[in-house]
Amino acid sequence: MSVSNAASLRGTDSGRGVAPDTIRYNREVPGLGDPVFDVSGLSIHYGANKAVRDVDLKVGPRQITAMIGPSGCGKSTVLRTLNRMNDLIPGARVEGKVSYHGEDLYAPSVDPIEVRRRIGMVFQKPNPFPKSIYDNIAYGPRINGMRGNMDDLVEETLTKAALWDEVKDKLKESAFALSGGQQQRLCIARTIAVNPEVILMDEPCSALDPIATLKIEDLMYELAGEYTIVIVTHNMQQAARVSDRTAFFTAGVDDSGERYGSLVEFDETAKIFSKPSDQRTEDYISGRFG
Amino acid sequence: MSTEAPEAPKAPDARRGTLQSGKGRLADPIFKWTVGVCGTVVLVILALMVVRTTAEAWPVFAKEGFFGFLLGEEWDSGRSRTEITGTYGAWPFIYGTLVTSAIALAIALPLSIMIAVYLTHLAPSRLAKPLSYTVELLAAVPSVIFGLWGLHWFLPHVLRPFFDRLEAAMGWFFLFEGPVRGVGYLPAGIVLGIMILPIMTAIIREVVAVQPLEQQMAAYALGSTRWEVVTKVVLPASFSGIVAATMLGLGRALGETIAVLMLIGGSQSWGGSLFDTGSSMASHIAATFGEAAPETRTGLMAIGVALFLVTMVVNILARVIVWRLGQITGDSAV
Repeated sequence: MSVSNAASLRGTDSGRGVAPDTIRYNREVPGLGDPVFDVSGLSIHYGANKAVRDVDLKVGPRQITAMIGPSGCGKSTVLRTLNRMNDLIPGARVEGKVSYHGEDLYAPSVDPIEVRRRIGMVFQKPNPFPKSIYDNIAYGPRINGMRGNMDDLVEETLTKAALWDEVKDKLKESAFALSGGQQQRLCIARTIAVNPEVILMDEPCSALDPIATLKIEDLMYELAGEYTIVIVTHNMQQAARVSDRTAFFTAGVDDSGERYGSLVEFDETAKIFSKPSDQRTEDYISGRFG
Repeated sequence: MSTEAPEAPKAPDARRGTLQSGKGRLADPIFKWTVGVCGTVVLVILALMVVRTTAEAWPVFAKEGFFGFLLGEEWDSGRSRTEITGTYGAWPFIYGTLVTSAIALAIALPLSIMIAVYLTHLAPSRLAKPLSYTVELLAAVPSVIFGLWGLHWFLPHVLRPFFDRLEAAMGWFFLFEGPVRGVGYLPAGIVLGIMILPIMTAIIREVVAVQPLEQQMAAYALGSTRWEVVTKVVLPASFSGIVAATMLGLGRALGETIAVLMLIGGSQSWGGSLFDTGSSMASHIAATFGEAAPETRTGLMAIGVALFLVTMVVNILARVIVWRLGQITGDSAV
């Protein structure tokens, strides 16, 4: 059966189908080149539970890779293995290989602190520190022993995060005084202040209103020229709007009744949303399940 | 919007009666007045206490002057029933209270923070639970037991040998000048520190444990070590809670009577080495109250007033500190 025409994509009762006009950014999809991440045969265990199974994925440089899928499909879990945040969860164990520029991220000699310096992360809920706006940005550079002019760095970083004009007169005020969307952009600024190569985003807009969401998406698009971005999102339109490549995950149940997540399909975003090669992807993006 | 609102019913529902037919609900006013009275009683008791002690102590303040009493170094009690014949200066006792409490805090504050961090961030959960319970249990041990244990075991077996070494190494410094006497400011302060440790640990642990995980995750994601997460994110955010715990500990240390009485030595001198004996305000009241003549009792009341003032000043200072720093961090938990 064919669902590849736009009308049938739009016409789902849940309203979650992706209309072509929601694609805001028009650009060539960059090649995978020398992939930043090369994930192969990745499985993640929580205690006795093998929660995510056999994921193969490549993340290309300076582009946006989206991970989508229903709840419990393991997309956030996979994201957190990319900068070893899973190390902080008791009982979490990784199997398979995660390469970062050809280097095994889980080799015993790898220091997770160093990994996270280069691979930053933005979280679901805006989580600024209970400090001033200035100190939120300065935190990362300070702990990393940065020398040089902190004032300049703060200004440059906030400008990059499209927040400078809104906060330049209240840098010494608490970050909590900002709106949710501003706080999230502050968190993005805080991440790029340590000059990472990759920014991981775990549903960065799920706590924000539509206007704040669009601002973050614009920002992501801007940043993709300089950083490699991997975003987990619940919002398919968002993936369709901003990403170059999309990985679709799904949740399944194995023979022993255990739930697990796995990768269904990974391809260029335009292809995933117009001519997916797997029926499950097609069902999901046309709003038929999940 | 052109649709008209549905027409209101013309008569009250016959089955329910009118809106005025409630049975005059009494429970709410009774409840309100009962809790109101209970709340007010606290204020009344406090006011009565302040007024009464101050009134009782008045003759001493009248003779020595307020600051004369607070800073007077001599305490020579008379035996008159009707007038003030002795000399009453509370400074040695105020000094004893401040010094023992300072020693107690110097020991308890860093220790309780470290224990709290260990319990919340480092201890395996198998160990953290029983340890937390033990800490809370320790907070319930009566102070007289701390005093007995301190005097008969801790002092001779642990503190004396430690003091001898301390004196040998640091004796040139006036605070650690010999001779080592056994009881004195330092042993009283150390045992006080152990006494206030559990309550401070329990509170700081609570505060540290509820710090949002998201902020800690953000710090980890920026490449922080565990040490940096604790010292730069968790503890600064726990600041007001740590101050509150310190206040509670300090309040207990300032007012602690029986354990200090057993360990401080009971002399009326002040200053000099931490090995010297002395008295605190509370321990002096407890030690002399039983056989005090009426005029001495007046003097003891005055010490009571002074103790009340000291605790109040310390509390206000702490609140000011928390308030000033809270403005920067946007912390409103004051």
